Amino acid sequence: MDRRSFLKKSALGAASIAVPTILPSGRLFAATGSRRANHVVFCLFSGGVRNLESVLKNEGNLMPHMLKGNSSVSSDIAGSIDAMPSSPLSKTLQEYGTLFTNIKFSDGPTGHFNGHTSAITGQHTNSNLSLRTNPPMPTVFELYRKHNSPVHAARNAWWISHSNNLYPLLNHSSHPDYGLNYAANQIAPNPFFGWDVSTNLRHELEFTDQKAATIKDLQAYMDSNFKKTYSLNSGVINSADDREEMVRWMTEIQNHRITGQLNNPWSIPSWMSGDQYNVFFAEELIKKFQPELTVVNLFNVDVAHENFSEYCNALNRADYAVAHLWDTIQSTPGMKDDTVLIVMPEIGRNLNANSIIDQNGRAALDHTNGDPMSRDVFCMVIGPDGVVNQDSVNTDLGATVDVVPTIADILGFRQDIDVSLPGNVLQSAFS
Amino acid sequence: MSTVRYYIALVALVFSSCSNEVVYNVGTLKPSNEGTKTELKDDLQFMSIAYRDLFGEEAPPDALSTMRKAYISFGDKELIIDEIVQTMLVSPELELPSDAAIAADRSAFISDTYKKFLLRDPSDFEFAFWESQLIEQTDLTAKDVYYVFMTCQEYKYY
Repeated sequence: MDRRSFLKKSALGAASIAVPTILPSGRLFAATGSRRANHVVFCLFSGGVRNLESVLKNEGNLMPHMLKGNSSVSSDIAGSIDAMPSSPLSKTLQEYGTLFTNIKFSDGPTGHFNGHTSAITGQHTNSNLSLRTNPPMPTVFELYRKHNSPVHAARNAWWISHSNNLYPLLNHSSHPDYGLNYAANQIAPNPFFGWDVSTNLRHELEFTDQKAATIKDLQAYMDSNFKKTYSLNSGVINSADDREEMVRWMTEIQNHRITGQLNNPWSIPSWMSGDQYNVFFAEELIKKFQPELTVVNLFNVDVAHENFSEYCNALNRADYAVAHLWDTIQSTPGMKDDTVLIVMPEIGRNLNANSIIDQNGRAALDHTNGDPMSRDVFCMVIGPDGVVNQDSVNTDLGATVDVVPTIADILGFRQDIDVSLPGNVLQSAFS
Repeated sequence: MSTVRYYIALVALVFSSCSNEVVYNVGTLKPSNEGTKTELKDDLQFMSIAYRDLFGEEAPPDALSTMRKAYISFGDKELIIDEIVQTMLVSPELELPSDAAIAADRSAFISDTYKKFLLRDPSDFEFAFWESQLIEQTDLTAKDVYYVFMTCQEYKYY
């Protein structure tokens, strides 16, 4: 037996203790609503994206995989846009669903953490939001896990964050009725599968069956002599089987890193950006676990603070990444034709530029003043024909806080949520 | 070995090798020795202390940085702590007592292990228990014992 099997065995005791705390007041049966689909992938197209450069195509169509139209990219920045491979899709993403062009981040400071928190909790945020603690209101992960059957364990909910800067906190809230017991699994794959962690975090301590049983007995003995229960900072709780599977998966990916198989796996002509790698790892996770609820964020467009042309380039790269993600979903058994993909920036950017000029003479953009441009974003809901309205554009006023009730509606637990959500289901997306 | 320890070891040996449930009267001996540990180590403390306990020196900044990065990057903290502990234990730089050295002086190994990881002496009961285990479980290595100590609840406190 390898060490993963030992991990499984050793976690059995912990799991049996943890069960009552996982489900102290949770439902022991399925959500009451019917489902539109059994999987949702929410791509936070983050970093601050203005409608001007996205759906309004002010610089030409910088997102040709997602948006219809072939308007040329502005000539002065065209040389800064890296070529991407041809689309893996037969048509644009927009044609696979409904594009909402009038979505507002209507309340709260136009910062990344506020924008992320609002999108993931479905609640407006304000300047009192602490950047160093979990948000006070339940995240969509907790809503999903609490208001569904216990079989919807943590392995079915994943928060795949682009970086470790604050965002790992968004896999659960501090809400007393939700919290850690309903948290999503969280991974920041870019640092986790980076060279240093991959080459140093080893998975080599192996035990025979007999030795594993002995170790387990000895651990039980040691803990019987110490009456305090380790509960703080324990993170999300997975079952023994799921932990074993996760270790196997992370070992596989880390071995791929060490053997060079993660060097530009998409064969991008120039290089793969952090956003593209984050989506690549999300795809690997989706292929392995087929989660019911996945949230993945991008972030490279935030280079707009100092370089407008690179912002446009990052938009173009993110656009390809999302198309690649949809193609992978449609190639994954269990996810194909049973997944709704939602794509939305968390905030926009200021109308007026700052004073930093890039190599093409373009001025950079912040997102700090809360002007209308920094609150306007788009949202795309993509899904199977018959579930999601195809090739549709909606200009009605919506809000970024609408995504959480929309996810709840898709996964059939909207009516079971017992906290007030200010947003509405984006009904016009659905057939 | 003191007379008391001898009898406790005898009892523990019989206890550990029997599958039948037999209750032995061990008088008023306290089976536990929690010491004065009340504070939970935070994540960085745990990793840096674990490194120091094992390697006898402060963790190099890059090693600590890598461990911290792995810890922050994954939500199941128990799983990652387990991975980090195992990573340290399989390090080729780690010098562990040999099986022969343990067999030659089990008392010293047990005492040293308690002091190394739990910063205290074992109680008579604990000493007897571990001595019986080292006699009974002939394939138990220092790495195994260290793993047990580093993953126990008490080690998470200071």
